[in-house]
Amino acid sequence: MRLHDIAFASIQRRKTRFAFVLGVIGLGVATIVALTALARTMQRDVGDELDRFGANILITPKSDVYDLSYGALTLGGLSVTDRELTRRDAEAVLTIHHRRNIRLVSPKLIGVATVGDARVVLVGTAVAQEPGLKPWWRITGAVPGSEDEALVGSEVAATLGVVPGAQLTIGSESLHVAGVLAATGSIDDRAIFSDLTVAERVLDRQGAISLIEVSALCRGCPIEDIVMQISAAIPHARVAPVRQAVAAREKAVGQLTRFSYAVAALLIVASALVVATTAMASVAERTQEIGILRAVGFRRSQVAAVILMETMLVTALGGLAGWAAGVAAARTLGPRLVHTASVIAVEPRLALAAIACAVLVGVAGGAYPAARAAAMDPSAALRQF
Amino acid sequence: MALVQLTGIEKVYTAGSASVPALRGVDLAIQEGSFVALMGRSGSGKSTLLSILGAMSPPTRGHVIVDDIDVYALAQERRADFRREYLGFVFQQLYLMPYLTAAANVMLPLAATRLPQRQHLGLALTALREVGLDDKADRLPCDLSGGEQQRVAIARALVNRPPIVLADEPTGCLDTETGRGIIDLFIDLKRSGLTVFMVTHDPVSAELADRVLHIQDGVLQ
Repeated sequence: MRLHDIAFASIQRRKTRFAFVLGVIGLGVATIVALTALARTMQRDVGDELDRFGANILITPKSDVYDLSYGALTLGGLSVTDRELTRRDAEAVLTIHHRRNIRLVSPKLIGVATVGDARVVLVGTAVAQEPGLKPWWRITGAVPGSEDEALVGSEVAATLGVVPGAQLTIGSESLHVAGVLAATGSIDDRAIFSDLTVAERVLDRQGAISLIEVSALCRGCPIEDIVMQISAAIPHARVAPVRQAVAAREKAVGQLTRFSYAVAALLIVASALVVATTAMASVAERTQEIGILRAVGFRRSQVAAVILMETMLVTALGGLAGWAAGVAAARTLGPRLVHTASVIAVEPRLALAAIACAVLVGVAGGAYPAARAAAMDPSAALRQF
Repeated sequence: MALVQLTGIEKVYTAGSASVPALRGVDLAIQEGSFVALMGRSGSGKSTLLSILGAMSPPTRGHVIVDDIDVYALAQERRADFRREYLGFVFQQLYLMPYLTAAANVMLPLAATRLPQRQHLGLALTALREVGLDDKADRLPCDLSGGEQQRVAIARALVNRPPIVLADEPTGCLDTETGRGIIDLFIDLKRSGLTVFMVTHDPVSAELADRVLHIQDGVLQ
């Protein structure tokens, strides 16, 4: 016979009481698990949305823009740029503290060039890495792999009547059309993408960069910190996070997460109180038993261990049952509640955390009754009967 | 030298400003292998003396020396170890765990030891055999007669092989014949070398002891 045998026997004898505790713990853990699983799924969704945006930081030269208007007549704007960006600025991005979060840096030189009689937007960049930055691109043909190849936007291709394999002459440069973009509904449809050095020659702007697109791995990463660090590394640039579209959803996820933490805290306290009340009643009811245990030579710590084992066993079982119920509830109700198409993941770590949390509740709730039981005077306990 | 030596034992219970003396200067020596009976009226101090002897309630004054150990000089946890190693208790009200079998009740004190678990059942069955109940090891207390339950309680007191058995009114709830059987068992234990200290109201049971002590108003006569 071991101490846990006494604890098991006691639980078996008081099935109803311990079933009540198990139910309370199970309900609490199920609620916490379901809320946590939903919050995590929503966080993952937000991360995926951020990824779909591709570049999530845009670096442009600092400039002052003046509106030019006279009465109701708008004449456009005048942009006054202090200092242009250079390739060194692009390299500086990879020197920041959070450089491990930087997935791609794409410096671009943008200008207007002439192809035959048509004027097109020429984007000089490392074209081969562009699909990684713009996962929504669909390309007919191939991604340009060398300096003398170009990728042509859908509208430009239609205007110029070019297909993959055709030759284009831009300024003094002759480029092979490696691929044609499917329509994107963006400025990319009206652009030709060439190697940065080619664009520098065509536009006669050696070393100049119009903007730098940065893709940071930001699922849970501190994008504001990254923006601040880049701003510090390139003080003459304006660095802006591209996240407005997901900001609202992210805020909602944050609120749900905070709400789930608050609910979890309340449930933990309430569950601990239920465990404590039940264990106290159990100890009061078992004064005689405790007196016997002390009389036959159980140490105080051993008596306390028996009481704690009982609460820990029941709360661990409650934690396991609650985790299973919580995952089932999240999977069943989750898609309807938070409008997600994602599968609610069953994370083993969440199961361990749920059981550990439940056991901690058991320890917290059982500690005082266990201490009371251990402090019981054996002769006084036996005299009561 | 006596196995148990009580010197100048006094016990005063206090409740608020009132204090009630329960034992007044008790001196007692108990030889190893003896069977001692303590008699007295209700409230005379019998149970208090048994509690003090049983390392469960410290005296207000005086010393309890068992096998050269000053019992109340031990720390609380060590005193629990002392109870387990030196003392076996038999109570009038049995105090068996109703949800444990006879064997499991007997094994209870072993749960507090570091003895390998595989030895527990064997020791419990040996103790039950000594009280003639090894064939009822798997019965619950409610399936046993009063005498059989008391025998289980005695087996529980013996399972650790303590040198001293303390019995508080062990025949108080039993009929005469069953009670006589329990006293005979104590006589057998004494013959096997154990020291038995029994508190009783029953003069017939007390007469069978080697030595009969009387206590009145907290004073040993």
